[in-house]
Amino acid sequence: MQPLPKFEYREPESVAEAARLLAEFGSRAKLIGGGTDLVPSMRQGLFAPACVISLQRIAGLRGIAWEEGAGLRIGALTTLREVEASTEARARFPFLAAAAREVGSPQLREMGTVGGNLCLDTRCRYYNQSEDWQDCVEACVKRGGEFCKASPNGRARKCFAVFSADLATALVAAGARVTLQSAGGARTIDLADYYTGDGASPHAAKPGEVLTEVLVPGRMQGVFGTYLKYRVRQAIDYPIAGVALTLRARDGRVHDARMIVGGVASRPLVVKAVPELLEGRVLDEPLVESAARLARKAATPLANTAGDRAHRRQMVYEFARRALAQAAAHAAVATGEKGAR
Amino acid sequence: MGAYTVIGKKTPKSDAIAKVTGEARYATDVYLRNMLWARVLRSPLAHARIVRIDTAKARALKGVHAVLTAADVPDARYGALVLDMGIFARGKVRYIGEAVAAVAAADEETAARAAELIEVEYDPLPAVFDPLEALAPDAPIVHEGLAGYTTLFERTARAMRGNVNYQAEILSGDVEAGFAASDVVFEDTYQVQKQHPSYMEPNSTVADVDAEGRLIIYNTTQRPHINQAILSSLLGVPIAKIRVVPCHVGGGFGGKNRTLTEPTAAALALKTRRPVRLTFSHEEEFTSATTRHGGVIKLKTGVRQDGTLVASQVSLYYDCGAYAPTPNAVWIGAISATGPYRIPHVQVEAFSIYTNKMMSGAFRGYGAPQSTFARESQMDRIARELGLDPIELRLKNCLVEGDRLHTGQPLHSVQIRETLLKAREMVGWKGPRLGPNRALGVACGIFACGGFATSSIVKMNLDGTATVATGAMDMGQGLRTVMRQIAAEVLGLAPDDVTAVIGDTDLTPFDVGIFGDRGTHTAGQAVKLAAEDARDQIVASAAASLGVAADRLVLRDKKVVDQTSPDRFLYLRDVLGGGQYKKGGPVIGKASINLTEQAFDPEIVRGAATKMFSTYTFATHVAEVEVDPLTGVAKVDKITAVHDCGTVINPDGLRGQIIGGMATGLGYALYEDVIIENGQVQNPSFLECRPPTAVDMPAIEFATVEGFDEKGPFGAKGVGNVSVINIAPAIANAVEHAVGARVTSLPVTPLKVLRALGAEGG
Amino acid sequence: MKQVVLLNVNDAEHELLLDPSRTLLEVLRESLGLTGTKEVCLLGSCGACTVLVDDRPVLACLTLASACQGKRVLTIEGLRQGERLHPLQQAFIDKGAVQCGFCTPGMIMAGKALLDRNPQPTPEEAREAIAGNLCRCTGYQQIVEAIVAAPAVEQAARTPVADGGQYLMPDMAE
Repeated sequence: MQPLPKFEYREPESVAEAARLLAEFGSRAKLIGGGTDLVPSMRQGLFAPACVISLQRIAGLRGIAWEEGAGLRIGALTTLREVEASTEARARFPFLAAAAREVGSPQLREMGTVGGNLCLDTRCRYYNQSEDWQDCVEACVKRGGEFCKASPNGRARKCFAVFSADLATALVAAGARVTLQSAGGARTIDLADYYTGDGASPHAAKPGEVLTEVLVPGRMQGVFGTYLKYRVRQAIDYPIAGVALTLRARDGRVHDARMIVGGVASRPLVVKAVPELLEGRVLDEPLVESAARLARKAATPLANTAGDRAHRRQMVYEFARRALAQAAAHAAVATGEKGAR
Repeated sequence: MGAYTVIGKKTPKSDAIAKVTGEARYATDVYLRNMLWARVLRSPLAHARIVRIDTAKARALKGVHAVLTAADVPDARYGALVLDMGIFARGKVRYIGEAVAAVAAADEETAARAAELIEVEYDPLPAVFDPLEALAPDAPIVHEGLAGYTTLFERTARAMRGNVNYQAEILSGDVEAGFAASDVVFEDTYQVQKQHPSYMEPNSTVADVDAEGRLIIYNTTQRPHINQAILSSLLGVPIAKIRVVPCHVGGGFGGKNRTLTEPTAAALALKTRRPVRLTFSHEEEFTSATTRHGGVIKLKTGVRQDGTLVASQVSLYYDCGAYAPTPNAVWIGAISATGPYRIPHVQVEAFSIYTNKMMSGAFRGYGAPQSTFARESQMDRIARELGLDPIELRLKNCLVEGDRLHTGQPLHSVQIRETLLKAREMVGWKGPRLGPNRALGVACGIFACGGFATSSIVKMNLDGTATVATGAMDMGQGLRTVMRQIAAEVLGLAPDDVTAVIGDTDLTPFDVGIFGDRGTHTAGQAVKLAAEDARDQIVASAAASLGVAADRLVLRDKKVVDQTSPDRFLYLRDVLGGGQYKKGGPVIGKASINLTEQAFDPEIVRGAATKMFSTYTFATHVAEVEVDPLTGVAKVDKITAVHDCGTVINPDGLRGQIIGGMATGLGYALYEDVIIENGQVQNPSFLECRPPTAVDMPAIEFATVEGFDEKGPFGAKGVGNVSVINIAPAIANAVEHAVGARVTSLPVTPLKVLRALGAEGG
Repeated sequence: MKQVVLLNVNDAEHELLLDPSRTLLEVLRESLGLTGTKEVCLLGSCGACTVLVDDRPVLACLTLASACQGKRVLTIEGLRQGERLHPLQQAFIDKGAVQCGFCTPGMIMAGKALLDRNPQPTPEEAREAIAGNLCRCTGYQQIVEAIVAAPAVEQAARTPVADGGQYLMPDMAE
């Protein structure tokens, strides 16, 4: 088989050492967790890093733990399979375990890590092609060309490649925060802010920063949550659209709703209008309909993944509607239980 | 039909042990000492004149042993009917992905680097991508020199013009009079996509030159003997100086009834006198191998009010791509285009058309899934508009024993009616609708089975065991085991007493290749006849020894037994082992046959059409589908299949063929589509072309109906192709019955379903 | 920039001098001659190169060989114990689950990973476990049946093949 481009391979044993290597190699370094995103990308010539830094020997980056007062801590090297199977995750945030299970295939979940899912590169049918394929066309903006070929008329100078990580979309809906560690120290930010919206450079990590942990805040325990994925085949495929929804139902009314859409924009798309519409209201059918329409309105996919643009928007609407309908059923049950007590 | 001891009995595949342990050697597992790695430089343009090729920099690179272009190989072409393709593009390139040059180097990296160093200057030409546009008088011509190309038959040449490399016509009855006599005439146009065969194993060849200067080819193929002949004519090497040693084939499905990597690897090996390996990358499989033909099918069908089919006019426009490795796929399409139905007045015109796209070739179903989708979709439309039950409509019109096909060929072993009745019973049919958004869809299929040349040798060993040699290939369908069973049944042996030697051109006699359901049926028949020849020799020898009449002797349990007095017998090992040294010489049975039928009546069949297939296989499939009217997603919950495949030889093998065919049919119906824009494949991978996974498969029920084909061994017919062809229309029909959405192009995507429903966003 | 890597494959220790860009698949096939693990898509979307690393089913095409230092790699070649096939291998033969065989090693390794964790899987669980392994021949049904049947194969006694009697070479001088 055609070998990967040559690189130096390091396995630091601490985050500090990893951060030091990152600082040393700068943009010529790539972090590797499970390798399910980086290795095929290197094979297609998307990256030719001078150094590949594996995080696998760093103690403490792997595992899921519930910490009273803080929340559910998931180390960046925790595999998707471990999230899927975790009793803590399943008991406290079942929709996150379910979202992890939606990724790829059993082997990809066995290898793929939570950190890798959060840091998944954006994808586009013009970008994720081999060098031979690229030789037949002009390069797109993400591959160093001038224009985004998926943009209307192919004239946009910005990259619109799509962010399509299932778990990340659900985690944004769960209000997760991530810790970024560098030689200079650590900072914690909202996961939603980790995404720039720029397809060419989708993540907000500063040079030298390692994403080490994701924290699902304890206060989110008990909220309603769901993640619905639309794809062609029932395995392997990336989402054509993914909708995550969380909310709290109190007295039959909706509070703190969050709706995030994956697979249609260069970031997990936060549908801001949905919480504004739903806050404090009873989630009845007309409201479900209105909120789903807001999701459709917010989603403006380009011709960059499988599926027709109009149909992808329609799927955002339909899956948002289903997620909201689930939430409405949940709210009704919650109210009913309360009434019975 | 007698009681068999081996035929129809569970017989595990003899090569399964090697395959479950990882020991089976495939072409990609061949690593020879001093082996060089080949890399092909491919065209980045869909249509262009080659102005200049400069290989100097590539040749100068350390580790490079040879660089070849069209200038370095004989100016020879190959093809199935029209010889249109050389090893490398000569003068111009005709599709993105066409081979322009090749490198052999010490390792893969060097080969790749060298390929990049080859400078090619192109002068772009206008290209044509749509088969109907390619028929226009002013369309760019893909092969200007077509008229001068060598053709296998004179009638092929007569039918070529412009971008049409194959044209055939079927005229039976008077189609205009038929329409005039019809109560209702239906006219529809259907479109089908290119589907990739998606065998798991890539195309691969290791070519070596031995001490005697013979060319040795280790490859993955469905047709070793044809590969050998093509290599001979392309490279000017006598056939006797070429040995093709096919390895285990990691899936073929027609896609390896082809010669792709062999000539390049062979040319490089001859040049370097070292073993050279050429393996297609996953992407090359999707840009430079072959797919099922896409195309357009137009149907005009006249019907009486009671549903009797009266007349049908069919036009098939198959997109052949830039070369025509199997243009006759459109002929198979023409045969299946009227379905398994009696239609008195038929006119079919079939075109295989060049475009500037990757090649179309054989793929399981071989031209029939396209026309069957059209025919069976329209049958349901006819049923609906006439207010008839879809199964009743089909029963009313289906062919029966003794009927003639629209080509004029008399049919035998026709059980389509029985498959319909059985399927109806199995699904408890009370009409297609099952409930809200849920319905059954039925479709029938007819597929040409068997024919062409093959031969076999059965060598009896001294201990009474047998070695069968056949040039026919096992691509995993289990032909090797079927051959062992057939020979064992004839010779009174257990399957384990028989070894099958397949494919190796030094060790096996000629077979034309495994396609068109001819493995079990035709190559199997040759093995049966060869085994019978051996049996007759054994019996004659034993009759003399025992002093009884030969007609009283039978072979069973490794003995020659006097039927009238079963304790009078000889062990086979005594007949053969002793006899070898005494009289008569060693026992070798042989058979050489061609089961292709006589030529067509020229009044009925015109154009380039090839000869008749030996027989036909039939099947009815019923799909149970639930459609989500809000997403447009069609979920297939169950497929019921009833097949007329004659006598069943290996039940597990049959089951595997039928279910596997369904999976391919399901992918064709719902997911798979090689998308080409401006000549470039947009989704060149499994990830984006999407063959179905284990969790996409529906529940499956299948049955066979009793049948017996007089031409096939023990009455057997094929099943590999007919298991694919009518899945897509069964699903499309179910979708319509479920939600009222008629999708007339494949695949039936959620978008198309929503559009057919007139839904928002659709 | 080659590095010495210690790999434990099928219980055998190998000391290899490798470029770190080498994948486990390349090393298995090209350095160790273990060609049972198949190379197909190299994108992680077909499952043909599935092996077990520390008992977990992973895709060898996406795994760097250097990252496997100190771990146990099990390939299809490591399943058979002498003449005795692994029950799952035997079940694949018995159930007619093998056609072309190119997906078979990956299927068996994915199936084994499931059986190691869940010795009595349902057909649905078996189907889920091979959802990342493509097969174009079988339609998957007989593979699912083989995985479900494998535990029973282990318990069934292997019946020896009957001896059909030995052929004796006749005396040439006779």
